[in-house]
Amino acid sequence: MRASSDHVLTSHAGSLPRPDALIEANRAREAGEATDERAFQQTLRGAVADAVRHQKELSIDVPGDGEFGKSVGNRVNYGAWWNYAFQRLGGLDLAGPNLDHMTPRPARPGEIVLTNAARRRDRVRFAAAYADRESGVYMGPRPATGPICVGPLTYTGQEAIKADIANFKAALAAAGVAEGFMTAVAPGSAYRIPNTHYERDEDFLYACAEAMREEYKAILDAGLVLQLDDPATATSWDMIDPEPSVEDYRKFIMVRVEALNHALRGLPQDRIRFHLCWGSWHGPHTTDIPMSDIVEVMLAVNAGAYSFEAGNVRHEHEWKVWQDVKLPDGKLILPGVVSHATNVIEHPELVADRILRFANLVGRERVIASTDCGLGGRVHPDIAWAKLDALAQGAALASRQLWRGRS
Amino acid sequence: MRTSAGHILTSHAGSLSRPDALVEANRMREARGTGDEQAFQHQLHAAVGDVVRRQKELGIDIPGDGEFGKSMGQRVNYGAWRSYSFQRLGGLDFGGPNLYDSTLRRSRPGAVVLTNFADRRDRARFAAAYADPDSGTSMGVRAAAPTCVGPLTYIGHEAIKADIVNFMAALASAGVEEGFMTSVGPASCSRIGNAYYKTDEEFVYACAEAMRGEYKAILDAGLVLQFDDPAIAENWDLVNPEASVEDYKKFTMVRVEALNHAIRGLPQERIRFHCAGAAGTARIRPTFRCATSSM
Repeated sequence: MRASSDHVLTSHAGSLPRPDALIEANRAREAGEATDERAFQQTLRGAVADAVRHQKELSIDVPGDGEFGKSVGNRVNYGAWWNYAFQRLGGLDLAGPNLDHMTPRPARPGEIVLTNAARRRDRVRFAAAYADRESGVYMGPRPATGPICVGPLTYTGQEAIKADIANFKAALAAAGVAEGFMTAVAPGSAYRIPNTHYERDEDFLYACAEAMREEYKAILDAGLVLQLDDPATATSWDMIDPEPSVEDYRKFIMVRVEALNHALRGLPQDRIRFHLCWGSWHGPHTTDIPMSDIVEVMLAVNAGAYSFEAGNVRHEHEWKVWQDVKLPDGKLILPGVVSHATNVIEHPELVADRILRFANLVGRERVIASTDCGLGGRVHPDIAWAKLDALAQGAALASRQLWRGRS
Repeated sequence: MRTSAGHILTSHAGSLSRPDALVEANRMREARGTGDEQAFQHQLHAAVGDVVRRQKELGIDIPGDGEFGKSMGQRVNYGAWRSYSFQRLGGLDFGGPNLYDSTLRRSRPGAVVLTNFADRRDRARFAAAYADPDSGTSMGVRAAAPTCVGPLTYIGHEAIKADIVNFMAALASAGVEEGFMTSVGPASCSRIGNAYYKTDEEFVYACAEAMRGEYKAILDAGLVLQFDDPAIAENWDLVNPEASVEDYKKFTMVRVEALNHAIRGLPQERIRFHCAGAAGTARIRPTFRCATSSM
């Protein structure tokens, strides 16, 4: 994994805006209207190449494929980062209830379980705002159905991940970029669907870990950087009703981290980065667990770098966590210094200030400037690209300060 | 004006969420013009009482009336802070285009003019985002904007009297000693069509003279007056193409002087100034010397 050796490297959290033509092609393909698979693959490949070139033009040092292989059929979309996996796993019945309508489960001290998405505590507290189409919390159309695990989980996405990798590597080569990252969902986030096959939640979790390992391996074998998307590490807190003790929660989440580490056994840690966030929906986020309560859990993931939200009004103050927490030797952080959470484009000077705070605490070589969360689907495409531009400008400003007097 | 002695005082910039019933009552009143005015005033009075009590409960030291007397007929509304003045000024005609459809005007070096709202530079740069209802940039309905066609006069005496009575009663019943009330500044007030005054400057000063009646009423009642004059900052985005900072400062100082003219002899220690930026104002820092302000 590249580190910021002579300037602050830039990257982002993964999702980028899909071109309208690709969104329409995804929609038609999902609806079974499109039959020309070859034409679809060509559209996809062209879009990935454009996205990588665009990132390079904006001086994003470590680009991604924008998650373009993770199908979205509408412009506003907050779910592709994990629901793509439902197309790549065997053992699922995809005609189950929408995940908002899973049976809500109450938690008890020492016995933590997740309730359903509609019972999230922030969502209940601000029910009227979440229900108001004009409030800005709107998350796009909800799928009519959801997956249920009804048999042994297997990875069936070999063709899909092969195409993703081929598209991305071709795009990187054409743009002359040495390193790129590709996202994959972590088991702790993927397993949050109904399950009638495995006896215990933990069995299902480990089955997810085993199945998804194949995708992780494919990405790493191709020489790419693997980014594990695991917001559930933080967002599960909001999905436990009533609010548990921090101690109980940490125990609960550590089981998920261990399952992830099991999936990563023997894989090259120096090309694995981990993405933590509190959910990218534009809600009030009053029930987000503080970073200080889960930072040690995050660092227990066997990754070489950690990506997290640090550029929005609910989490920006948490840079101070790194005054007390030691980043293990040889590891990097990718704090979010521009955010998906607002249409306002961050001023490059603010971006630089944010970068400098982290660089001063953990060392300039160990900071890669990134975004809070994926921009695609969360803000308008033109705003998303302008934010990456602001990110690169801010990183350049910070680099000038951090490497003053050299070169 | 209270200052933070012993703890950091809290306040806010003015507008608070109107209760749904008041939004609906405003909408009906705006649409029909007539109706049971007494029932409406009753409802408004009570809503102001509630919102002041709620601010007190939350630990807001210097509450406002939430701008509830500035009519808002929709939940999503970014314009009531200024559009209320259209109802309080004589000399206006309401048949003209809204501010987005009015004449586009280009600035030249040494000759700064404001263009229409659709031609804002940020809006032009992100036209697709502004046009997309799902992008979160939607600003709700576009209010009709008036054109000045005769001498500008202040005719809002009844309205400001009611605002003051409602707010003073609410403060008294909540046991709060100091509260603020907003009023639009001349720079922001004058951004409507003008077919009567010869120059923009004359029109700005006419706005200043007319609105002085409202400023005086608020201060005479013992309240803190807050000037809402975002135009001081966000006119920058309304000048297309981008002007030199020097030209812009000159253009804006005329508006600050008009404001200072409007508050001549009024108690500065109970006047606060609110200057908001819109996107695209990044290069402008609030360096204007507003005699009124502690920006």
